Amino acid sequence: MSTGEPLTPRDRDAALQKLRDWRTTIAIGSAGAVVAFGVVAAVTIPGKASAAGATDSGDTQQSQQQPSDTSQGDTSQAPADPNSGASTLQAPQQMPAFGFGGGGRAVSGGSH
Amino acid sequence: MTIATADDRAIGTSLRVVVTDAALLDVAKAAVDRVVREIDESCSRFREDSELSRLHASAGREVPVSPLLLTALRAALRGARLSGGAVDPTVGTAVKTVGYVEDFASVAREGAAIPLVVRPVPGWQRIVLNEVTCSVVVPEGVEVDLGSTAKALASDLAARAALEAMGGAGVAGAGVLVSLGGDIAVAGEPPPDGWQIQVADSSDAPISADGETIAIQSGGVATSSTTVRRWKRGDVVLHHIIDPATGLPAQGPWRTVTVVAGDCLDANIAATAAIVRGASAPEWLRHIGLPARLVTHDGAVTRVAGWPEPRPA
Repeated sequence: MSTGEPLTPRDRDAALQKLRDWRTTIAIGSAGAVVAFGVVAAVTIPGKASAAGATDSGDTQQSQQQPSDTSQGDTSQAPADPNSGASTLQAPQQMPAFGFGGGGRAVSGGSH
Repeated sequence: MTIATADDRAIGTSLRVVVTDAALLDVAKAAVDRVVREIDESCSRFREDSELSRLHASAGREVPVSPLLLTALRAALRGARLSGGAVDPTVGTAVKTVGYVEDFASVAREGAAIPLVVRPVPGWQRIVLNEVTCSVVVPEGVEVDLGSTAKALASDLAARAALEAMGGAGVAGAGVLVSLGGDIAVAGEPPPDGWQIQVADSSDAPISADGETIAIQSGGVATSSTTVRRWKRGDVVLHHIIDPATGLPAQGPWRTVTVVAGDCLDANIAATAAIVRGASAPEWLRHIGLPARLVTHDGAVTRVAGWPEPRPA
């Protein structure tokens, strides 16, 4: 992932939309309540350099060593993790099929 | 084949272990408990005595870490990279700032208004992981939260450990499912009709004939949802999935995303990233080929990349 490259118009628009979404949320939520709200002047898209004026410490990202999850270092004692070096998120070996409602063995949902 | 199930709670969430040979349930559960305990001791941000807390106490210095914490950090950084930064382990300060400061059972569901400031998180690139010396540097001011990936990693590792304890894949018919808060990993031989998994907003939903259910043979299933771990401060509803670009709870169209992948970890990374990515998530999931089910805040469902359509009633 590169650092220091300018935001694309699409990335910039997406970031600005997120700011607008939050302004709307907080404006609605703060009716009748006191919610302090500040906006950092510039927005960082993760993985890209901060725009000028950002106060975020991500400005120093370029000086940091990049983590390497494909290192050939000795990790022989680490728990087995077959995907640790995979360069993509791994698709299932078989596509899921439609199940039989009522016979579920477990529920996948948000965690309590 | 006699299916047997054990239910419990661990690391602040529900734990379910299902085996295809009832005689092996106890040995499988013991193996799962051991892995989950080790993950908690290594990766919890809520325990002062965890290895992660000790790492934070040594911020700015190179600190040797255990193979398990190294694995968890490697998984988190890989998730950050492959999600384009949407799933970032440096959200620790941000998630505390919006009120998730302790085990969720202790977080007040309502409270006074708090300051909410849009501020990008420090960024996963600032964590320096040295595979050769098995050590890590977390810069001062950076707080790591492995909650998003460590639970899914625990499910994967626990399923493998249970299968091994049960005698390995060579044992005819031996299969195991581990669900940790709805993050599900399976290993070994599945039941004849596959592992039947119901999908819902909440992992505490009762299993019912009306629930949408899929069948998987291997790998993992994970769900990220903004509907469960949520709370109010003033009149603002907050939740635990932080958008690294704003340092605030993600504000997208999806309330719940479920993904099937080659393992639970990758399913979790994709599901969490989809919540953060928002409207572009279906296109992204199609592109990377992960079957997914996305639910909007008003309940509309989108299925992509091979997620099975429900049969007509």
